[in-house]
Amino acid sequence: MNVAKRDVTLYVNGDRFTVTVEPRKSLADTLREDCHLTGTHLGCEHGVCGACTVLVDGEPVRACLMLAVQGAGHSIRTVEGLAAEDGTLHPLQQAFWDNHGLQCGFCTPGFLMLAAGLLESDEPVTDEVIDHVLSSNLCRCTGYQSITASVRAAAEVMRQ
Amino acid sequence: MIGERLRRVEDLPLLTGTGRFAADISLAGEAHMRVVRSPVPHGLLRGVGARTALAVPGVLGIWSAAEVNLGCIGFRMVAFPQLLPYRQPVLATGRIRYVGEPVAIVLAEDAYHAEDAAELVELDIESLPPVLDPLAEPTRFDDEHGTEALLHDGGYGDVEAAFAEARPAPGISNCPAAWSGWPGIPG
Repeated sequence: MNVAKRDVTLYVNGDRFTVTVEPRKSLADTLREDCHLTGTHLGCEHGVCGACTVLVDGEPVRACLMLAVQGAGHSIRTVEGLAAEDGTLHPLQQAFWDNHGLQCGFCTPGFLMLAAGLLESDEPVTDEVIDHVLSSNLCRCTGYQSITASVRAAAEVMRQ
Repeated sequence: MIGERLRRVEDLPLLTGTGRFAADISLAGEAHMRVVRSPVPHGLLRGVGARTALAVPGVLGIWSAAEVNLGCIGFRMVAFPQLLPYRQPVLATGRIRYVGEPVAIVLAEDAYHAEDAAELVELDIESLPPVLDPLAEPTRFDDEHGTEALLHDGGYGDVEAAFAEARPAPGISNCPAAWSGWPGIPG
């Protein structure tokens, strides 16, 4: 219970963070508490809701099910790293704004990173694939239709 | 224009991870709380053992109703005086009435150690059979009260005449779902 803390170096959104955490500390808690990146949200804390989804080496990962020590040396991307440095929104962020893809906004970072993992991959993006991928995250207020519409709109922009 | 889709003004911080939700606020010296909950649907609470849990590093305190009286949760919608003895206590006092009922709170310097300690809190509960059928014979709620809290007969207008004139006469029987601390979840 009182295990020695370890130094872990994380690369998040291109920045280097050296944090001192217990080996059991989740990546999500570490991002929020030690890196002070609170855009990654925790909903269920057991891998069901997907609110904590981040990209690890480009792949969507539930940050509540991954330990910070497992993230050492990997490239981690959170919602804070989605827009360009000059503030230009990522096509997904713009599309969510344009298509009412959010209401309370709590699940939104998870959906954005989940969809970013898909749209930035080599996978062919069809409506069926979008529905299948988005089915792994939960939203309790917006309704999924406007979220899928947002991702389809962003996919269209990113194809051009 | 009327009917035109409006652009939400609150979306930019929510889309860029810079919104501030309650859990995003962190203050120096803050404590974290974990609730210890009943694993059984019905029983008599004999005691709460916190000695082992208190030894967990970073634990600041463990309180049950014996240490801190947090009172009962008031009613929001209905306020029949007959129902007052049936209000749900913030922390169980004497009797456990549903799975998940809060029995004790653990305060610690961080959430991980609060969770560690909560798992070590020992609940001494004498288990009693739960009442799962809302239509079953009433039993004991506590020493002074039965489980039938109130018979409420409400209505307006001439109901008898309305039913007599209805063709065909409708019939409906309704039994409310589990809510507000119904011990309907088997331990």
